[in-house]
Amino acid sequence: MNGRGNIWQLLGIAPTGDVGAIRRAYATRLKALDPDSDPEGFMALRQARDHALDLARQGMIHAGEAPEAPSDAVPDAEAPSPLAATNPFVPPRIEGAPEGTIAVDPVIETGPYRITDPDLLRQDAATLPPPARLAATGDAFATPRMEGREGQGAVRAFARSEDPRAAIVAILNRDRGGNARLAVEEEAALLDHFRAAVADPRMQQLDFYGDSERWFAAVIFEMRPVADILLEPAIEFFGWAARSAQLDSSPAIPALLQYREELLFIERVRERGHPLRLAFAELSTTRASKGVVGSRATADKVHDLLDIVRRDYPGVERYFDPQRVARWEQKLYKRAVNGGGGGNGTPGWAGSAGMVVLFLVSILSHVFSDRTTPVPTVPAPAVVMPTDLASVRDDALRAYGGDDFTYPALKTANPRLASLLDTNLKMAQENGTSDRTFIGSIMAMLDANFDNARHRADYQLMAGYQRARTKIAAAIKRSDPALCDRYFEGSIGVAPVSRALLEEERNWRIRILLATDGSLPARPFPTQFMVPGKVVDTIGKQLKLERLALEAALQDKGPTGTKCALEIALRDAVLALPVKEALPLLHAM
Amino acid sequence: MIIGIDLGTTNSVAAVWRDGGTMLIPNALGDYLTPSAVHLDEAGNFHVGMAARERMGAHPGRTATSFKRLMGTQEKVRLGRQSFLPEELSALVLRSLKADAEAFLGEEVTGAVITVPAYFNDRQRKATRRAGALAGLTVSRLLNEPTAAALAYGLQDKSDNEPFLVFDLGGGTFDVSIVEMFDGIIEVRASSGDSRLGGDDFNRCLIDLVRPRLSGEALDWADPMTREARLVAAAERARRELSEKDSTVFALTLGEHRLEAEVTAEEFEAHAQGLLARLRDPVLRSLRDSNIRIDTLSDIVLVGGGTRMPVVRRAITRMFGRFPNSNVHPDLAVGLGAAVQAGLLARDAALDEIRLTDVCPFTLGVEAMERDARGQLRGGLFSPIIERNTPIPASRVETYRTVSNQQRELKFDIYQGEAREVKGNVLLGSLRVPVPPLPAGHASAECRFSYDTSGLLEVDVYVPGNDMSHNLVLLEGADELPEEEMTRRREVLAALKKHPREDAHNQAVLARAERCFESFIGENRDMIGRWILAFEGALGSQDKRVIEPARAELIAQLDALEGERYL
Repeated sequence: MNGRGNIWQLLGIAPTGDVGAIRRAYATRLKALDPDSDPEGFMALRQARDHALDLARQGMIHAGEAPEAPSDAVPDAEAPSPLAATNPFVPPRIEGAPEGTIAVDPVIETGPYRITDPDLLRQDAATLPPPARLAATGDAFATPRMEGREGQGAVRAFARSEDPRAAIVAILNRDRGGNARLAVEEEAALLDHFRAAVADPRMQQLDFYGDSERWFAAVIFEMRPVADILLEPAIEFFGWAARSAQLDSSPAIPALLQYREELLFIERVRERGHPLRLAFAELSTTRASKGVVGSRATADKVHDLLDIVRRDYPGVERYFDPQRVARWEQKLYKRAVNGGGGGNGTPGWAGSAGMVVLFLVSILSHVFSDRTTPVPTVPAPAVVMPTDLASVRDDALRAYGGDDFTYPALKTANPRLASLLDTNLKMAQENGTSDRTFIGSIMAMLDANFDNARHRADYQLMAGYQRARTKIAAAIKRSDPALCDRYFEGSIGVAPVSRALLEEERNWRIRILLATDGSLPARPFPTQFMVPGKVVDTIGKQLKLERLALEAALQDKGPTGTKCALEIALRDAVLALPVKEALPLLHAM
Repeated sequence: MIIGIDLGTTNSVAAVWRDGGTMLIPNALGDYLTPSAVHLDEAGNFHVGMAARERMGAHPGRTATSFKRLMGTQEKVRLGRQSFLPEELSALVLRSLKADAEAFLGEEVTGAVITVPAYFNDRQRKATRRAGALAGLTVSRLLNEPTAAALAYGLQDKSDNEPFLVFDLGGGTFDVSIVEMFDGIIEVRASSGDSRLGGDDFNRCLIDLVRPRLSGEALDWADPMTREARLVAAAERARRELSEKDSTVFALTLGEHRLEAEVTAEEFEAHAQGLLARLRDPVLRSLRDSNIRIDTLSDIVLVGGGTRMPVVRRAITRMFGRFPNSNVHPDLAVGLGAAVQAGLLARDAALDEIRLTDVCPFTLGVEAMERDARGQLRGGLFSPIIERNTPIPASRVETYRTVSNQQRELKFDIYQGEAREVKGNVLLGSLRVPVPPLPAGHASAECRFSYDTSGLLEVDVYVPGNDMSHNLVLLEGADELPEEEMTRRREVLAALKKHPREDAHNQAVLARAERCFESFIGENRDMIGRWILAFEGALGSQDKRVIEPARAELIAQLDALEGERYL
């Protein structure tokens, strides 16, 4: 808070609890300062004084004399009324409710609520002085004297028998055994008491008015839904709707207004003829055993309902059965993927160019990186004999790249890569690495180099490679869409397609591998990249996918087969682009 | 020489700090209050003050009043065939006050402390400062009106005061301030208000109440401008009458018709409940902000003509549970306070032990986005940077980050107000700063708001990523003018033909007589006509010894007829 030294130094006095001394010190310092030319100094001094006063008033300074009573503390000289004793900024304590200030997004818990703040419940009329009246005096401008008591100021006490607030508390506190509904007579009684409370002439006094407002806001808020009947009258009387959007309202008020909006929404939606009525009924029934039944129209409506509720009335979701909601969400995705075009309000592909940044940013790396190295099947040696690592190496190469991928061939094509292999071999021999480990290390090395090359190879190589993969994927998809997804994840061993296709892909792979120059990448390859809008458009049109489903698929959350189709479509689209545009995408894929 | 000026909606006051005390400056009529009114007569001469206000009823198309309500807007007021911005009209009033001061003090007046309602926003303040410049005055400080009143009150009673509340209900604005005085330091703790609530609104209220009772035809056929002007004048009168009596006759004359209706104080009070309820919120807010209970207040200081109304006084008494203080003159306190501030700025020795600190009554911030619990971005939210009631001068900085990858710029829309969503607040200006392209959240900008003692805002934005600083000129479009433009406009105003100051008193009386001529009918009207001719004859003689007695006599005659004129 004060970067310019100790607050007491700034004030120029020893730490003290004497409010007067602090203020005098501030006054002296302020007079020596010119705020216009030294705003920082002024700010620091002012903050120092405020801080010192806080400390003093909290009695945290013990040096020196006892602190004098701060002038603007709440005076408790008069008999405390239920309002005065409560700190006006703290709502009444509710038993069973979470501690702390009122959160804006409360969680409604069911259960017995009781107001237990003793000050609010003070019933003993004998301790309260009688209500005061202004004594009639001749001089209209003299400070009025309160009958029956010395001292100035308005009195906030009220006798128990006439106290509508105590009555309200009593009704709300009645034990209902967990049932939050009020009887009709209770509701009427609450309204009567409220009217009596606001008709109190002391409402004209600001302190009383302000306290009442806070009190009602807190009580109605904490006692939802039991106190709902008071919501409308309170909003109207105190004019909360007009002030709803203010930063300074106590947090209960905007929360209450939101709550009311939600209640009104529920009322509207339940009326006959409301388009979302059936959808609401559907989601809010709790018979979880019943299967999801609904025509297409209802699905649209459910989607709309969820949309509206989540955006504007989040509290209403409490009323929905979570299981049903989950089932419906799943159903909605399926419907979207399987060609549910337009008609239900989600934005079409027009303007998708603008959507690029937002949703494609979340593409995860593994969606597009090709883990393509097939898992080599190394025949388990029948007999354990000391193996020749060189021949193991040859085996590995053959498994990786086919019969033509021999060491000599590699050496001719890419000497650097070959020398890496040599180093690998030597180390393995020296360390006595086992076959499996050695193979693993070769594969890893080849993989790494392939990866390296893949991000830099020229267009011809990249395009050829992706085309081959696409062909394989399409072939898999025709026979088994689920498997196709896994192909792109790299989790199937050998794709169940024709040999020719596999060889084609392998050849491209080798060609890319051989194109590596062995240098380490200058910076890590990006795991996210942006796909231009028109590519997205193309994919979307080709797949007839709604945006929701597309997003889900990109994040691996869609139903089976989506990802595969997406990948194929993506590749098709990218390959259709001109070289310049396509190349960066191919590199990133 | 620096003077203090209260530039009010209805009346203005000029005062000076001299010889260890305040001194009010009389105008050419000898009054301390100068109506904030401007009239352009057919000969092309400008009249300011009483002479202008008296002409409102007869020539509403050539007269302007209550233009303070338009300050900060670009809305022009027509006077005859010319149009003027509200700040230009205010400049004419200030010019007139300047001339009065120079005549009274015998020396040149170069600067002024001008008061503004505490709740005037940045635009309105800047317009006031421009008005001063257009009048040829350097505005040394803009002082909040309730603070000025607190200064006047505090000096008059120099002992240490527990917090007191200043309740300032003027012609067009309502301000509340809670002020504390200790050891010569006058400190404003909290300030609030309503810049669209004042005596004029009570006039409107009375007109609404009475209108159905006025027999309709003459009302419908009259030229609307004249009708409105006459209604307002009648309401003003009736309101004052109701301050003293339980009922009065609301009366106005349109052409040959005299329209009258009776109205009681009780009815008026009942009808004005809505306005009275609006008085409550600013008081509640400032009490809460300063964390003070009503019975801790040592005093309620009433300022402004509106507090003279018994309905308002009763409401105040009920609100606070006690009777308010009337120790300061409600019309003059603000002007006197401005003079004290002028003295403080001049570092007058007599004020050596006095200091004043004020607060800014609004929250200032920018529009920002936030992520809600669902991870969704919500826009249109108000992100405060300087909270209200921060002591001024104040400077605060907040950092804002980008929300999307490769975002190119951050747009700062600056708002003033208390609403959570920016659509409920006043837009002051806008600033776009380029930021380096980085992933979302990595590019940021520091936005610093600085509030000076006049309550004027400066915005500086610094982008660490590209080490660029931006300063925002907080004005839109035609608001801020380059120096040459200001000079040109000042000269235009200076060149306007004005009635000579010496003649102002005559003009005022003549105008009053003409107004009475319009207001009365039948025999009274003929009588007034004769008086006017007599006075004009005296004026024609151009001899002071003839004019002055003639004027005095006319005044007496008019007083006898309509009661003393009011200010």
